[in-house]
Amino acid sequence: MQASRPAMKATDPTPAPAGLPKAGIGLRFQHHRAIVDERPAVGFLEVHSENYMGGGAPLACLETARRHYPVSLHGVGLSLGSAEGLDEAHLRRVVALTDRIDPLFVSEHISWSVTGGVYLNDLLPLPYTEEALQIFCDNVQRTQDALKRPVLVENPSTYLQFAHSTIPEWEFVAEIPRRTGCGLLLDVNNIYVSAGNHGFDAAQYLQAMPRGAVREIHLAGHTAKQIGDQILRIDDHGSAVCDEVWALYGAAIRLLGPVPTLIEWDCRIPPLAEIVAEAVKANAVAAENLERADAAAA
Amino acid sequence: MLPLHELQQTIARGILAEQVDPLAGVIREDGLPFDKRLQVYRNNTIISLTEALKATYPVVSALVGEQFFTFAAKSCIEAHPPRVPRLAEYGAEFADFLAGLAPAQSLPYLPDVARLEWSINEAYHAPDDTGLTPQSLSKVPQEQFAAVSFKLRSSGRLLHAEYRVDRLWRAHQPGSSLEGLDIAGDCHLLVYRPAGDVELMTLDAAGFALLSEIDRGAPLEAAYTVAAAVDPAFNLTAALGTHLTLGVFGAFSLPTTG
Repeated sequence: MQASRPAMKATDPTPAPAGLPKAGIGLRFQHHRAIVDERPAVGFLEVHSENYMGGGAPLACLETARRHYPVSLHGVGLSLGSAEGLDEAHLRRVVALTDRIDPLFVSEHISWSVTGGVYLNDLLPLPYTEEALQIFCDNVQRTQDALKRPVLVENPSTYLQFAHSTIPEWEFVAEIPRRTGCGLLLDVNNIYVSAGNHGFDAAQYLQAMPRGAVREIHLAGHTAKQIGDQILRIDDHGSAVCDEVWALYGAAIRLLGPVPTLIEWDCRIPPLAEIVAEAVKANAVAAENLERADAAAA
Repeated sequence: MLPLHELQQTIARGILAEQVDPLAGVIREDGLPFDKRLQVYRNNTIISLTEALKATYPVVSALVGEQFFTFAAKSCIEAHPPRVPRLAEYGAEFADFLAGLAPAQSLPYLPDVARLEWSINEAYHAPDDTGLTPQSLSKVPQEQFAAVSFKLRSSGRLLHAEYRVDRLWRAHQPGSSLEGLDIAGDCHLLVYRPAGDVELMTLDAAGFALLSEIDRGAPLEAAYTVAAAVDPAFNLTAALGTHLTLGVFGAFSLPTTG
């Protein structure tokens, strides 16, 4: 056991420049033991909130990790896009876990999973209409009132669009913090995936993001799947971040400045060191692009 | 234009019941048929929930094999989708579903195995609490013992199975073997989580009757009466000593007087 060691190791090969927070990683069950034993030099850990709403080993592991790292709670079950409103019992679970963990961020998704009380366990797409925007914002407000703190909401990866959508996705996303005071969790891989699937311009999407509202960035891998003669990009978090997404991340940092960044890896999970290496790479890419932005501004 | 609630209900039917026709013209095609686009979400939902069931029911999965489990899980998911957005709470219906599933009838012990695995899952995720110890009762006057009502730990689950699923389950744990396994005969089990790990305690019929009565809120004397009816030789002192030493109870109370 290494109980008394500080959270950051002094031997980190890429010390972050001033103002740039060190990138974090998603913590999954497979690495509960390794994270405490190896204590890698990452800035923070993020977990799926719903996996820690009981007692026993999962919660105990999270509380141990919390003693060494800031932790962010990333929810997948609130279903902020549900027309029927929020499940109050689930909202109470989110509040209880938030009170217990004292997280760096509490985040959720711009999507829905619940209808008629049935939970579909996927992040389903919303139509981009004024009706859906208002429902989503009302649910964000209700959540923030219950938590007594702002939440972050994440732009989705999508595989379909609705014929009756009237608002471009980037405008829909940008409007939510304006109406609710919430923050954005900008998933750069999701922008890349959706831009490829629907033929929109990822750079234009980035430009539309309100400055100051983006509090966290996600990076992850995806796969390209051939369906008929079409390629659909599927956001499966099962591989390293691809070169195109690193380039888009660089552009996001040049545009938005230093934003806490997190590597997600959820299927075909590799050894911890491999995920940490992605976080170290994110530090380097961010540092390089901050310098480029500074040089361009000088 | 579909109101959002109606759209969400229509998509749920598309995902869980494959009723996709009402979404023609609602989902844009853009080079890919609308049902192929919906299929991505249908696959995500069914596959991720199948994985969740497999994580909760590893022994059932090992007993029936990958192909049958995938079939049974898909049928169960479509009939009983989750109603709580927390996968640890998903799958309570699986044992009854297997009991009614025609192709599963050749394994009559399968529903009992599933019931045991569900109890283990519930115990694993139960809220943290601490167990009573023999010292916890030191201030209770001897003459009031008969009136004490115990509560099981929050993780405590009692299970009576028609087959020796305790042996079957243990034989599937790492380092164990199926050799010489005999599952004939019923068994009485307590599943609970004294500390980090879930434990399986095999009880006799009278000991099971005692804990079942206690779990229903009966005071000790009434619970003992039921246990003694099952086995007149039932040793209450020994049973209580074991349960207090192993942390089976989470709390006790005495009737309020006056």
